[in-house]
Amino acid sequence: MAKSQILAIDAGGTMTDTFIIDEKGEFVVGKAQTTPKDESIGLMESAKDALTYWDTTVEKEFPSLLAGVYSGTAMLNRLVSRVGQRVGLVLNKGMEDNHRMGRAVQSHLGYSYADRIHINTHHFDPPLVPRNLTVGITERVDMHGNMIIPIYEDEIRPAIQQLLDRDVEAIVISFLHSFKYPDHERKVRDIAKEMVKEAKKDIKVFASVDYYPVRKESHRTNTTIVEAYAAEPSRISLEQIGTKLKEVGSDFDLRIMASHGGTISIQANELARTCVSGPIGGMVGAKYLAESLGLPNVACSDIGGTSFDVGLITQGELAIDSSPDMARLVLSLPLVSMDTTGAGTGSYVRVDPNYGNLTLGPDSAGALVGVCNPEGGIETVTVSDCHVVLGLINPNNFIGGKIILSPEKAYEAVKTQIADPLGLSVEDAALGVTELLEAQLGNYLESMILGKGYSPAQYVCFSYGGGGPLHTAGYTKGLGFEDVLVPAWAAGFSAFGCGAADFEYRYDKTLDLNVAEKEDSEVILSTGKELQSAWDELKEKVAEEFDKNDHAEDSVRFRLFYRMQYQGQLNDLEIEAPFERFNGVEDWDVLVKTFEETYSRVYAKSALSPELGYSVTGAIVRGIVEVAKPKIPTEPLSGKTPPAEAFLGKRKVYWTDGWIDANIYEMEKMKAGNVVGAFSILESTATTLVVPTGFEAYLDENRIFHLKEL
Amino acid sequence: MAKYNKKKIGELIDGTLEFYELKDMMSSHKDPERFGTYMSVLQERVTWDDPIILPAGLHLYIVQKASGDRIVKCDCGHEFCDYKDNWKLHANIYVRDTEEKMNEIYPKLMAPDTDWQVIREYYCPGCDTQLEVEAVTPWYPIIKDFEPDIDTFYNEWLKIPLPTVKA
Amino acid sequence: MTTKQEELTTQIQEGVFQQSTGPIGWDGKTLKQMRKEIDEISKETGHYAGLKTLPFKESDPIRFEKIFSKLRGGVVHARETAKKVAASPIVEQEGELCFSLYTPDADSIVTSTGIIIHVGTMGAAIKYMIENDYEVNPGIADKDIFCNNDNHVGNVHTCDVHTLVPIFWEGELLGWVGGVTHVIDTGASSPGSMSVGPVNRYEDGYQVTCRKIGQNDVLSKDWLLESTRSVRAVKYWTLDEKTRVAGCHMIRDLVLDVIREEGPDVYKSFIREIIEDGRRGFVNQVKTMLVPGEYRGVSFVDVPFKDLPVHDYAKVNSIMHSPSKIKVHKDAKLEIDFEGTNRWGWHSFNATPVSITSGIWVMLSQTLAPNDRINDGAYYASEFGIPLGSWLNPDDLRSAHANTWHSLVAAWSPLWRGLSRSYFARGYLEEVNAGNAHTTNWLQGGGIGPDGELHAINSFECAASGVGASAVKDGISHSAALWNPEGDMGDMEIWEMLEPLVYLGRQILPGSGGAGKYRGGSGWQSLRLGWGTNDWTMFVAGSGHMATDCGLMGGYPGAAGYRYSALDTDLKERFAKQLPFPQGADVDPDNPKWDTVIDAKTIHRDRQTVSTEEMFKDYDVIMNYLRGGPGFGDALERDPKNVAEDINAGYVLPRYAEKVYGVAVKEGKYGEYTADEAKTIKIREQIRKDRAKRSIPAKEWMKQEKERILNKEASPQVQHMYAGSFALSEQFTDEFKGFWDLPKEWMVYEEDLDVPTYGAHINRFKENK
Repeated sequence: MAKSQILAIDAGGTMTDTFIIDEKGEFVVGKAQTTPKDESIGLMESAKDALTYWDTTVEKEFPSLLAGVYSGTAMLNRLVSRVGQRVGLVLNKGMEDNHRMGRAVQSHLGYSYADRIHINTHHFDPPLVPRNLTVGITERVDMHGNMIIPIYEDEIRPAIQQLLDRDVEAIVISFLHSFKYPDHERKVRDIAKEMVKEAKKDIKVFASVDYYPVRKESHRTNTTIVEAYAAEPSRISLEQIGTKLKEVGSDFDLRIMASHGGTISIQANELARTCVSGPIGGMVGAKYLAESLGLPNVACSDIGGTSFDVGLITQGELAIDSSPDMARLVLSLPLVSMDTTGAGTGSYVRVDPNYGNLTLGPDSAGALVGVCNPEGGIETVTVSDCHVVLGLINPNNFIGGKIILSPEKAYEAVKTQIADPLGLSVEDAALGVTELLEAQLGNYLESMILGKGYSPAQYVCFSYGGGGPLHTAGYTKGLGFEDVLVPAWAAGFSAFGCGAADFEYRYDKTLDLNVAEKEDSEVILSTGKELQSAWDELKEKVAEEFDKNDHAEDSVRFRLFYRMQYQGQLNDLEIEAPFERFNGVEDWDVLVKTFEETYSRVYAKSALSPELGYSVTGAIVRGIVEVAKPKIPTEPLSGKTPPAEAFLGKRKVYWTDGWIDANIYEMEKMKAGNVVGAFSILESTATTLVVPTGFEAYLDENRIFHLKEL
Repeated sequence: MAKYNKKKIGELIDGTLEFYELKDMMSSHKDPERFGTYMSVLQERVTWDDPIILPAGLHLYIVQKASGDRIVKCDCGHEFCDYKDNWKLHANIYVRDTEEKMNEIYPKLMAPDTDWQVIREYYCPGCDTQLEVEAVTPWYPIIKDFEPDIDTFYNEWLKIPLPTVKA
Repeated sequence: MTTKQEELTTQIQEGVFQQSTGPIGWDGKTLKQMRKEIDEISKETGHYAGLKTLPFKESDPIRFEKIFSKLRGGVVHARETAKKVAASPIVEQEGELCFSLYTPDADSIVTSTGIIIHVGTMGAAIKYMIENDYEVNPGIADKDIFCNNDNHVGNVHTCDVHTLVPIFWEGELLGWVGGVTHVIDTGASSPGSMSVGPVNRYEDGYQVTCRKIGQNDVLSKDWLLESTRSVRAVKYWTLDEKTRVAGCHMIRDLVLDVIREEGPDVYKSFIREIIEDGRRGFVNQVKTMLVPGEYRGVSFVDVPFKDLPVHDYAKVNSIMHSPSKIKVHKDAKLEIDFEGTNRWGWHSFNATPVSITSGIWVMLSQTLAPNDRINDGAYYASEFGIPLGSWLNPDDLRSAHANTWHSLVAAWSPLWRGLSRSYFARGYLEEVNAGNAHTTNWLQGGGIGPDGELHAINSFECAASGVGASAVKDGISHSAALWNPEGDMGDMEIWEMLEPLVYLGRQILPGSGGAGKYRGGSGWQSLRLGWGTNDWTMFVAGSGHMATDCGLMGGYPGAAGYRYSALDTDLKERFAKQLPFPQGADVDPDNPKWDTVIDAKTIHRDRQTVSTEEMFKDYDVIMNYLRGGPGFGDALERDPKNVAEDINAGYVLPRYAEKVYGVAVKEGKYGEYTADEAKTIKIREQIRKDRAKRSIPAKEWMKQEKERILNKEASPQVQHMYAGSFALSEQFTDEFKGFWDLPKEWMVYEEDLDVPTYGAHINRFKENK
């Protein structure tokens, strides 16, 4: 009897993982080589592999699937390795160089602090559109949408012709302030389409205003280019996947994980926002889990091999960064805001030869683990090497024994590279590295929460990802989180997240509505009217998208948001409107009050500046349609003592009190209700939970560990 | 700690390293062996066998003579002077002191105004390579760019013996 | 018999002064005592605070590092959070703000990212308060707020406004936190943060001298009223101040948190050790990267004031002369001596010693020590020679400083070349950098803003200037500035929100980067059209008649500057009729296209690149030229393919391929160029022959030049520059006369040059003439 309900696909550069989740929330994971030419092939192989664990087949299971979500790195790779479409770019005449000048910031985006100030390291990646495929057309419009210079009609056709002559595969048009005055972009767009038709070519034309009608030319232009350069090619491969799924009898619309934390259809207008990978899935999963557990504020932390990602869920919402950078490009995508620091389990550990201080990262051995990996060829000590020295990870059972680690190599490397220079014993050096890493992650987590105007006591901390649980106790220690949760199924968490994502569209529009501190009601009312019409416009846009998948407007749950700041500021706050429609002056007061509450929380009361007046800088509409989601596993509670078969024996571990005997358990075999004290190590194939001195762990009925500081 | 072989340092000198290789080099702590490797590559590349003590600029080296002298020498073989002297005083010079001469290098208005500043070019008498450029006011004494403390560098900093002429 | 200081101390202890908060230093000492002790013991032992060993760090390196990373991380984070409060793109977009944590006696412990030139300036302000017994009057209490931007106290320029907050623990002062932002207008005689026009302190803007502006974490009403009535663009002033206060308070909380965790004594030993640690680290860095010895360099920047509408005593064409000698001592102490620098002048380009001793770290941390450990330890590992009376150290309270960067960016350029000679000698070719561009133009102006309020602007597009070439690759183009490596040219739609100027162009400028085997990073131009102006004026500030850098090892300097603006134009009609008009960049000033497509009453196309306020209306246009960087090596050694590529990419004009690089190029179907390698070899051979022909032995040339010197053949400004150096420095005079072997009686005196000598005090000739 088929039991599969949710299919989550994580298509990486080399491997495609599929997660198939059943009605109890249990899941199987399959792996297969990614097949870039036609991703559906690798996907099917991977799904087959997964289902062998339930000894059943794709043909048997897929018809029972209720939903499927895809998340992949193909688009990002296309962008990073600069192998996208040959795009022609139309800009304001005189500004043709602007795109390749990368706004200067793109020469140091994504750099470590040391490299950001180290001028000789700065470097521009090749522009997505080279200068010789960029043309200019004369026109100018000001920030209010007033025309300064009419569009020079006779320049349009020659400019487009030049691009056609050079065999571009797509055309992007971006004029200054077009989001305030779309006509010029659209005129060029329509003429270009005409000429493409005449030339009997198949070239898609993108006007920035049809995609990202938001302020900041450098972000808007880049994003529209990404749409043409990297996203459009993905449409084809996604359609291939969609058809293949139908062929094997599945009956759902494949959805794709998008940067705003929801999933969208492959027919979506704006596909560039699906150009995200990994971490977001975890955040979305955390949000879903938090909802199910009724937790409003959650701090999510995920340690992988190369980085530590933290993100906040506040009042049940993911924070959104509306002009983020990705792949060293400034973009105008709504992106689930997450801070990442280059400190993971694979991070290199060094002693600065001149300053004599310990440095962690920012570079890392990533999947090669460290010196302890005989096959890795790594020479510099990594955090994992220190774990091996301390006995925290089992050298013979790393990733379920896939790699046999060499404690001797780790010991020797830590000795010569770290311990001796610092004048410490090898064990103390290894412990020191772990403590420093955990202290840094803890500070990072804390400062992020304080930066939002909250304190850890108001948050529950989630820890997942391969490396997370090993350090959870360390980096949450003393911060006073309300609770610290580690799902026993932590390893598959980001895939779980994909499966748990809402079917949600989000559209933004830039506004400039200025209202003085004490304003007369006409102005307030007209402001409200403009805001409401922006919301209506966006609602329509969202409804259209859902319509592509036959979801009627009345089945969509709409949520209205606005962005507000004090007049003249350059940073606004995104806030949900506490009503469904702007009706009158009193609604304005509500908007202002809600804004100032948030503002004084984030930037301290002293920063309130009502005397400057207020600006509404943007309208946002989010539309959500209910879809099937994985169940949170539940099982009956049993006793405090773990079953005998869960106990794997003892292992020597070095900790603050020297060498001690740690109890080793097999995570999967533990039962709900079990409690383990220090010093315990709970191992599963993909992750390791450490319960150090001063902590105990309790496994609840949802198979979630609660790490308690005693 | 980073470590680079002669091939890599050779490519560094030739400017043929990929940017990511340079970036790695710059982001890492400096490799202690660099000076030795660099010197051996340079020594192999010059056509003469006076031992190089210290590179003094692009094409220029301070070399050890059998006499015990340390002199500045161009890789073309031309020998300038003792390293404590200013090699520029023994070079050929050309001064751009009119708008026309400046316009050969810069478009109009983008060159210095010769009432305020001139450009001096120093060429090697041996190979006519442009070894140094000065942008100074008229009358300005020829600048002595660099006077290394070679003995401290070798004896106290690197703690390695100075190169000597093979008998 | 008691000294004045002892008397004062007892009086403080007895609390005879009403405002006195009593001695707030450690162990009942006054801050003045603490400062004195630190200076003495550091000088005497050569170790900061006399720390020959680092007991804390050595015994518990991990805990030490944990405290460092918490403080450092917190300071950086506070900057990131606080800057979102600001309205000024200079702060929010360009990141022109910085926070730093100090010891009670004003030594910097950790500093955030940003304009770290201020590690020392805020320290100088705290030292000034200590010197003037603020403990006594006005008193220093918990939750006080102080403000300073006084140039002569040791600020960089008036627009850098400091907020200073003391940190107390159980009645004892454990430190200070300082925040600084570059404020867009501070009420100078002309608008903008780095104005040209002020020639003395009293025109240089609203100056606040270490003033207590708040108590109990609240700013006083009188301060808020006075300060906001003293500057233009009040909104920026106000939100910048809120940014600084918010950041300082975040950091104060962080520090108190650390003290709670670690205890005050651990904190006290940490802050001493981390500074000594910074000193040692820097010394080791020098030993790793440099070669001991002496490095000499010089740079100049023009001050063409003769025809500017300023006070008559300021109407002088002069040159700021910046000779520098880097001496790397046996013990790796880094000494930088500016002996020979000429006299300060009546313009806003003067500097203060602190802006050198502190500002130097902005530059050194980009190349010699790019890490997060920079604090006053590095200062204790170095030594500076800054002649009194020179433009680096005016001996007159009247000196103006609003645009000190005009000269600083020039003065620091030779230092890159000095260090680079070391890197080159040691084989660190990847670190070589031929020097920084004159990171200008500053496009400034002001008038009435869109909101009807007084407004001022200063475009920071020059934060994206060209960078010097290295020994292995071209300098990076349009990307950084000396004063901030994290360059950002800004989003055009954001600039247009703040400036009544819309863009007609943003384009790379061919030939702006210095030629060489490796080309200097290119500069660029933006072209702006007046739109929405109201009682508006504009002016420019950049280098013009002179190149302020110099190529390295055979490379050429970056191009000099010029200005372009057109007033009372016919653009309105041209737009309506869809006729051509100036767009993009002024690509080839030898054949200026712009002038053929515009009619204007006034067109400025000249080298007057420092100008004073000029009325500016809608449909007027003004160009902003962001300079390029210097090149490295002989241009004849550049790969011909790269030369062709440079033409295609707009970095080089076709005709210069052959003239400068000796490369023969041919044009293809789409106007793309390729190099003819065979022809190139011949051309290059010929150019070498020409060099041999046109050059003469340096010694021969020296005889000719000596004649010109004896006959005083040089322009007034050049002679004025030398006279200003001769009058201040016997050493420079002797070296100069010695080099040219001039007769004893030969001299150039300022007073013989028929230019005003108003304000020239120090003059070693006064007596013997």
